[in-house]
Amino acid sequence: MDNKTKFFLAIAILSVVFLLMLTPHAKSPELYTIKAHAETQYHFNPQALKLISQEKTETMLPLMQDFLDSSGTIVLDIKFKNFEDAEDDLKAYARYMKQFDNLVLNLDMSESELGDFKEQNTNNYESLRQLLEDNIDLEELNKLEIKYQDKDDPSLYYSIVYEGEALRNKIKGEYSKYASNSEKMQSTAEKIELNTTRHKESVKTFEEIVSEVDDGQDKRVDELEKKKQTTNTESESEPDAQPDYKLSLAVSPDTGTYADSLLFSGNLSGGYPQGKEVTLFIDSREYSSTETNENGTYQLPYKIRKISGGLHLAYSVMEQTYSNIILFSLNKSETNINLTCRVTPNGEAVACSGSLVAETIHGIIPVGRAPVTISVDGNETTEFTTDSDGTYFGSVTVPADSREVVIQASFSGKGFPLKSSKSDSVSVETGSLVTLILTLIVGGACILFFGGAGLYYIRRSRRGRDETESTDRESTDTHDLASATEIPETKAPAERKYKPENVREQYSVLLNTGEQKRAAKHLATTIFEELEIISGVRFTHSATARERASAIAGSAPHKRVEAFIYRFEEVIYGGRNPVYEGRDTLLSAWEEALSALGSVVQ
Amino acid sequence: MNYGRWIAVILIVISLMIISAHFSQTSLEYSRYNTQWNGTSVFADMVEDVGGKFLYDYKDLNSEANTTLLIIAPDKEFSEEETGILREFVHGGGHLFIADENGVSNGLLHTIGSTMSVVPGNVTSVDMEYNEPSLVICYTKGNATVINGVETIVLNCPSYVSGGEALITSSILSWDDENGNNRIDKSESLSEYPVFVHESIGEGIIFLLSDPSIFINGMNVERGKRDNKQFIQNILTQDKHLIVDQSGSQTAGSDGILSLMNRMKQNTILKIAVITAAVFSLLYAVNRKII
Repeated sequence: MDNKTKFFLAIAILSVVFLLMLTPHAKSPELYTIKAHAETQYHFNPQALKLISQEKTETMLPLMQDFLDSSGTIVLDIKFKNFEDAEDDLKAYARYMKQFDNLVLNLDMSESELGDFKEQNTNNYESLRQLLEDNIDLEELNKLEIKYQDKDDPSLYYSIVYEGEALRNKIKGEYSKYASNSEKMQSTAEKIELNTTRHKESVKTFEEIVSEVDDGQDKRVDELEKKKQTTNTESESEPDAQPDYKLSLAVSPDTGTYADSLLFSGNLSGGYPQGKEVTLFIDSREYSSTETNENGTYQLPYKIRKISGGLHLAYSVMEQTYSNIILFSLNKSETNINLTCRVTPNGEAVACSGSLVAETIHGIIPVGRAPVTISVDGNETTEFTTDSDGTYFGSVTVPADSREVVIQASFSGKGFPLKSSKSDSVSVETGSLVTLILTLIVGGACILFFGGAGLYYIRRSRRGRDETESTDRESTDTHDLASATEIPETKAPAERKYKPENVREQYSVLLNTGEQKRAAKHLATTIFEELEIISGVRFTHSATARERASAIAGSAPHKRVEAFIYRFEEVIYGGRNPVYEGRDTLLSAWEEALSALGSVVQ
Repeated sequence: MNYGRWIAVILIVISLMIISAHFSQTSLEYSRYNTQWNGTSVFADMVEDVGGKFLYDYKDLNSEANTTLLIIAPDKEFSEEETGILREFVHGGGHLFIADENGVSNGLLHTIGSTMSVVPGNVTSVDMEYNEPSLVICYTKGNATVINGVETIVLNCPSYVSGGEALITSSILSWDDENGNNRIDKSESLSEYPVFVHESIGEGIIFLLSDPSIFINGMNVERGKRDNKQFIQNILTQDKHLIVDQSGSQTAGSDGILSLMNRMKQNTILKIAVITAAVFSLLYAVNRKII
């Protein structure tokens, strides 16, 4: 082996090695992509991930601590009658609660302790809000008490005492709810190492409020008893004094959900009970009236609709006779809201419609006369009210400069024994129809203009070429006319590649073997060759026989060529035999055409 | 030799360099010969930069004072003999640093007398450096030289540790994502998971990190604002002497020709044989005027 061979051998070996190295990657030409190597069983490839540096604990834990701490402040404010401060704190609480709830949802942590905390926090807020409302009502009652205390009309004082009793029961009920919820809330909070001291204090303060309300109400009851005794003493001395009526009240069932029916009933005893008007008060508001029957009993059905969830109280009144106070509770049902959006023709507003339903044990029930809030790009813009069948519709205006908006409908559940719900977000393209039409017109005009210009250019170019060709043809025609049947000498068949006798012989062989079409094509090939030579035109492969013949249209041999093509087509397309009554018409036509084209026929 | 030959020789040398570079690499997880994102080649360079040594046999382990021995991603149970040597090392005042997420080192830890152990898991958190909850941001606690200047680090699919004194933990909003769905379910609970702990044993200290991924090349790229680099630097420089285990660690992983080459490098007789063969081949080529 000489050195040169060895050198080439080394190169060959190296080439083989490189080929072997590359072969495993031959099927995937992209040798490396980060996405394709994003993870293994041990770890993720950070380079294939997006850097977000998200530290949500820093946001969430302080928020949760705030909830626990501010509960204490709010309850203290209520205790010391700083209702405005408590209201402001509650507003802030609600705002942070919304932020926290969104975080829990966005982090997909609804099933965690944070999800539990979110639920407990909502209940905590509701209890605080209720406590504030009840205390404001109680404060009003205290003012009225002072006002009515010195008046002679004892019925006014009765109403104060009953209102007070109602509020006492309500606040007591709220307290037991708050205490029980707080226990759960603190347990969750302690698990994630939050300080619950102030929240525990809030439960104690709430208890103190209940105790104060109790004391206040006991005083009112004592005062009422004193007034009753005075009234009884006075009435005993009167000969036509009113009989001593007693009024009872009960509710069945004492719990319910949205769209349930409750039945309030009771009995009036003493005196003449028939036909007396009894008025039912729910949450200290007059609900309805009815008359007692001959036995003194009365009934008032109550359909649960627009009333908040939780504890409620009721009592009935017949003239100056008050019933006992009863409590009933309403559980919150799930709701479902949907939304459909359509852009108005001017593109400045979006027509929204949808329906709100409650999912109760009785099935899906439409929620009527309920407020539905529409948010555009996360900002609450409009509030609609549902019809009796739970449907709502209306339109919202959209920012003029926006091309696309995200719309969502929500129901807060406030004032109903229903939970809140949100519809799916609907993305709407808000381009104005006028703008769209204008865009289409301008676009169409542009297409027409440029299309027309292009067409004009093509036509102009063609015309120029036609004119040139026409001039050439005219000169050729003039020449043809002048030379009659002569073919221009410059295009003499000097370049002919075939010999007619060979063609004829080959033709005969093909014909005798029954291959008529091939035989005909064999003859035609020579004619086409002649036509190319004479016309100087190079025909494309797809050009038909007639198209080729037209290249010498107007010249003397054209007719003979056409006659051949006629026979040729009869054989090719018509399947006719070229030999008819012992005479080969195709061959004759070929010889004549070839002769006319100036070839020498043997 | 004419110019053509010179060019040919240069081409052959370049080709041989490319081939040797190709065969001196691997794609094995944690391997220091793996230059891709899941290898530890960058870390191996850092070890060499600080004068660290690689340990191929525990019999060669000197129980010098002021020494840190790193066992990263152990891939086999430790033998009785190895455990004995390591016990002696720790009790004698050495610092043993183990980065393990599968619990392979638990037997060793127990035998040495440590209460610490790795709990294989999938610590996931809302505090994440990348858009993947398994890349958990963890926070330092307490005082120790090894976490000086370190506030937060990012770990990559860590397990967690029980026992010992926690030096680095996940945030409280973390959970062991057992079903790997990246979200917390009812059966999973939020907790602060210790990921780096230490414990004094005899005269020495054992450090236990539940995620060896912190040493891979992909985590050594300057992205984000965590103190991973400082943490690794502390590990490498906390003692005067640094030894990195290559006997039972995945960082020593090699396969194919690379494995043969590595074995050859560790065997003196083979090394001499190969060098002799190469010298003789060269002499032969010059003598026969091949080059």
